[in-house]
Amino acid sequence: MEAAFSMKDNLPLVQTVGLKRYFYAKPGFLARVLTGQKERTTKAVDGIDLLIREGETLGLVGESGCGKSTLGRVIVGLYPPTAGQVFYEGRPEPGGQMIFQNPYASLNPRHTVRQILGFCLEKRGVPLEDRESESVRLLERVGLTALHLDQYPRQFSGGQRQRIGVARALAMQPRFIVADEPVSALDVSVQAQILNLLEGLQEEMGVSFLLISHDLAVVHHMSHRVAVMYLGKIVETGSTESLFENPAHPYTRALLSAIPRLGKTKSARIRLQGAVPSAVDPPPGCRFQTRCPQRKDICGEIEPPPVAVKGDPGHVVWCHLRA
Amino acid sequence: MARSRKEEVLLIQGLEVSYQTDRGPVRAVRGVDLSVREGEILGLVGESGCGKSATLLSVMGLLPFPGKVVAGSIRVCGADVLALSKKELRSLRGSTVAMVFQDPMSTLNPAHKIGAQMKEALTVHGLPCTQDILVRLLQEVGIPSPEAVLGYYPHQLSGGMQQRVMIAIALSCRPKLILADEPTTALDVTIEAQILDLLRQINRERGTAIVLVTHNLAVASQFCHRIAVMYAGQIVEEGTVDEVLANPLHPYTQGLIGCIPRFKKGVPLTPIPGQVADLSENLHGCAFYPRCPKREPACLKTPQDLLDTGDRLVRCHKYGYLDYAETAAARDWGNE
Repeated sequence: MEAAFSMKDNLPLVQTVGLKRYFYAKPGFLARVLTGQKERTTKAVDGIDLLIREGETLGLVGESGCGKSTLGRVIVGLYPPTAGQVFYEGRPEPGGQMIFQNPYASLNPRHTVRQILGFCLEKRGVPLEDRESESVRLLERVGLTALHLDQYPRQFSGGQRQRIGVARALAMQPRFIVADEPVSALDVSVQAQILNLLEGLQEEMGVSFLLISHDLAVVHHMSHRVAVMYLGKIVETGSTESLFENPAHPYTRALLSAIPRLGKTKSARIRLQGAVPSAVDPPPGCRFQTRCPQRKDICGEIEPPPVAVKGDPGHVVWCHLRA
Repeated sequence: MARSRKEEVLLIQGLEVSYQTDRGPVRAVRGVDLSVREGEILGLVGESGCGKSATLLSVMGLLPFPGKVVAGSIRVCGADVLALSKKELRSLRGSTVAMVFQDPMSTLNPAHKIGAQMKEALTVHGLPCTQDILVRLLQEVGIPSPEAVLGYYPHQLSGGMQQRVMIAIALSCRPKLILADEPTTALDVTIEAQILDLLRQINRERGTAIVLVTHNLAVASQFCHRIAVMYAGQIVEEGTVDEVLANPLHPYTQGLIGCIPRFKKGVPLTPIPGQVADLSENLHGCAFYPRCPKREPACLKTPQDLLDTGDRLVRCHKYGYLDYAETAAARDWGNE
């Protein structure tokens, strides 16, 4: 695809270096004394290097609990990192705006749209007299009108609320937006409306997206590049075409073969046994070794190195089988 | 539609469900006819609020409070569900027709062990429930180390394993019909594939009929023999999966398919404009009219009937009163 090639010349906008985010769960006094439970560490994000260029959409896929939402939140600065660094526009600090999954829970039910947007505009330093016209401009950009200004979130449908969520993110004039499962709470007909809206914003304003989704069809449609995450680590990354046509990691292959596709007859499926292990005590070596159909001895001992995949210079896989 | 002459396990005729609310009745199901035969998998697809779950819950006699079946009949293996007493309904549930719900964590009782919950289903229907039987049931749904799992509480199992336990309970009394309400929506895609494989295997080996309610057309296309597309409490198109999805006739079905990303670069999504119809209002004519790209004044005049085009049923007047040759022409129109 042409856009993907021209993207290579674009400057990096967001970069993470060795990013880690751990969560610590301290058991209560009784549990410590009576059962001798120790403090548990959940390694949600465990050493991630990512790069997002200007005007690019990076799709981040993985199953629930793999740490993809945590990664998105660390990048915009909602969580401080445990280790590593986020660079935004060349500066060592997190940045960007966020669109959340649940448009019902992410808007304050007691604030009108005017208040929701006004708060962001105030933070941006827009003078009071300009806020109304700016709010209307934002609403019109996301397909709503000035009539919606004084309504409360409950008066909107799910799709309209997500539009308000998008307008709120745009109010800060970000160059980068993390969209965390932006359409998974919506019906399919509304899903397509929101996806088209996001695509349009990128075309017009050149915003970059980190699109977090478990829906591979959505990721394929929206992304220039894709990163596959498993238990806190990236296992494969590459251009959308290369990764979907030539998946190198056994996990990516299983994931791709598990997607139900419209009208396509059942192809040979790779069935994974069991479920994702807990991130509290991830397996040593390769994280995927407990479910991998092609496991070798080395996979249980040493963390796999990054290996380039032929055909696409940006396509990298972390797997011993390819080394 | 020509269909094989196998025993009909579910026959729904003219079903109407209404929820009484402060703002007046909400007509969730507005005249649904459905039939499912032995060994068949029927997919019931549509967006939220289109009446697919209300239809399933009526079959089980489980409609929540303000909801009521106001017209129609439901027969499960010949028994008239709406005329049964509470006691008779109880013995029908589980033994003849069983249900698998969307969220296994909220359908399993968190305070009881898996073994006890499985036992309950069997004893209620007066069936024997030795340890061996329970272990075998868990083995059948592919649960590793079943002896240990019997002593677990639900929270000790993953979502996929919980859903397997739900399916084991649903299968325990050998029902003829399984109603599955979004059984994989809460699960990850690799686990979803495992659960759908399991249900398909049960269908193939035992001839158990399955009604799968889903909002995911791709899942339906992989799993079902026939599908019925619902909109605003009515079936708008029904036929074999291949026919309906490869060659949709109703503008709503066409719209749904246009909304789904298809793993082809450069194919734009074509959303359906507007919102799902409000069922508390009186709908005149076609319920899809406000969103339909092919609407014309005639669509509003009369209620649309479900018309038989020869290979399927469509609720769109543009297919009415045509002979077969004209239907073929209309099909080309549908592909524009």
